[in-house]
Amino acid sequence: MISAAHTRPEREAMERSPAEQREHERRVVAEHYQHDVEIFSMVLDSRLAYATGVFVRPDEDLETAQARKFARIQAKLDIQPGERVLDVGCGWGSNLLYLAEHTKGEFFGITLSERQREEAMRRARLAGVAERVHIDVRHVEDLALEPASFDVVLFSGSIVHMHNREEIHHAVARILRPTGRLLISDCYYPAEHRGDRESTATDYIFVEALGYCRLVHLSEELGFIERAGLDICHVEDLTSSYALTLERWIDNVRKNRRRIEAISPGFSRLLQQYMTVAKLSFARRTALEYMILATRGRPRVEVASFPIAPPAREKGEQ
Amino acid sequence: MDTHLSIPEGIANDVRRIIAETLRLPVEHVSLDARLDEARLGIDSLGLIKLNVALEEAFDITLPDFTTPEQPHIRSVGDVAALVAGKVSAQANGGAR
Repeated sequence: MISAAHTRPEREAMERSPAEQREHERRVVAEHYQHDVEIFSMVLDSRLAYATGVFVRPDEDLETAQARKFARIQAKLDIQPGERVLDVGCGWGSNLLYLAEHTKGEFFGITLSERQREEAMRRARLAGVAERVHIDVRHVEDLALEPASFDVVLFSGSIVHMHNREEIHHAVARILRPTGRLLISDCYYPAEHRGDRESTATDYIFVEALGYCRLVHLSEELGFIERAGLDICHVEDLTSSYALTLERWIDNVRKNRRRIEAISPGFSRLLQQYMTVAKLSFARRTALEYMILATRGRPRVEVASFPIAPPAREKGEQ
Repeated sequence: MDTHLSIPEGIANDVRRIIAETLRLPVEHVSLDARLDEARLGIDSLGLIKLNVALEEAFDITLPDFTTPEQPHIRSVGDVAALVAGKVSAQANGGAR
């Protein structure tokens, strides 16, 4: 297994102690997500998923692609009544609330942004699921959870912000019960070195726009997961879907440029710039997007029946 | 053939000014025939993306990504100005309908 060469932000992270890096992430990662939710409402889908959708045709709209992603995550996780689900980096609650509305599990989320927590809880109350949804402002490494206390751990567009990957995977494996599932949807570098990872564009997106990002190779992440004691169940490439998702977000920034600028001057520019860097990276496959499903012990979901989602759900119906 | 002659002077000057501001260069260094990939302009892919966004913002138009291989005809400052002038006039005609 070849490790991805470290980018400048990663080299800096390696010079910090784990506690210092945790503080660093707490501060710089939260900043982007502390912007007014009104702005993200103009750019993202109605549930505010800040991660790729699943497109099966290039002309589909964002709402359809995100609805399909939620349904697919639901199908892969197969949450049973009373099962406990932890969403690490839950954002404004897109996955957490969709799953709370469509299953009978018990839901826990953490985010680094107080504003995200407030909005997610507001939406939980509106959806009538607030009694089964609990959200804290906390760093993943500060979670002191009972071993074998969760059935599902979810990271959607969030693990990329976390430096101490190996330790995090060990902690996740520890808190999962037998048959527990881990789902990650995030961004990876191709193992073959393509593109310039020391470019000003890389620095712009990893540091200036998003605070801290660490992209590893898919094989590295899978290695961390396996060595933590979980079995890899399924890996799905969503790279082209992310390029299309970003294209839709960029169009929404364009349409709402004046309104965004009125709330937060300079932010529409930052969004469009970093989203264009990301879109071009996925379009050229200098960055890749994967959804990973792993299990602790025997999987609940039969892998032989992949693709898991039944056809009705695949249309992205509610 | 010099297609840059047909660019309205106001737009050409605004485009030159925006490119100069984006690249932090004196505007005299940004002539219409300067090439975007020229070392003297010092423009990298992030610079092109920033330029794209700055022009969209300033003229209220939508532009194709300069950095994609599908845009091989956008090589010089004048090409950018011609593209912007075309979009601005299409927008004005569209608005009059």
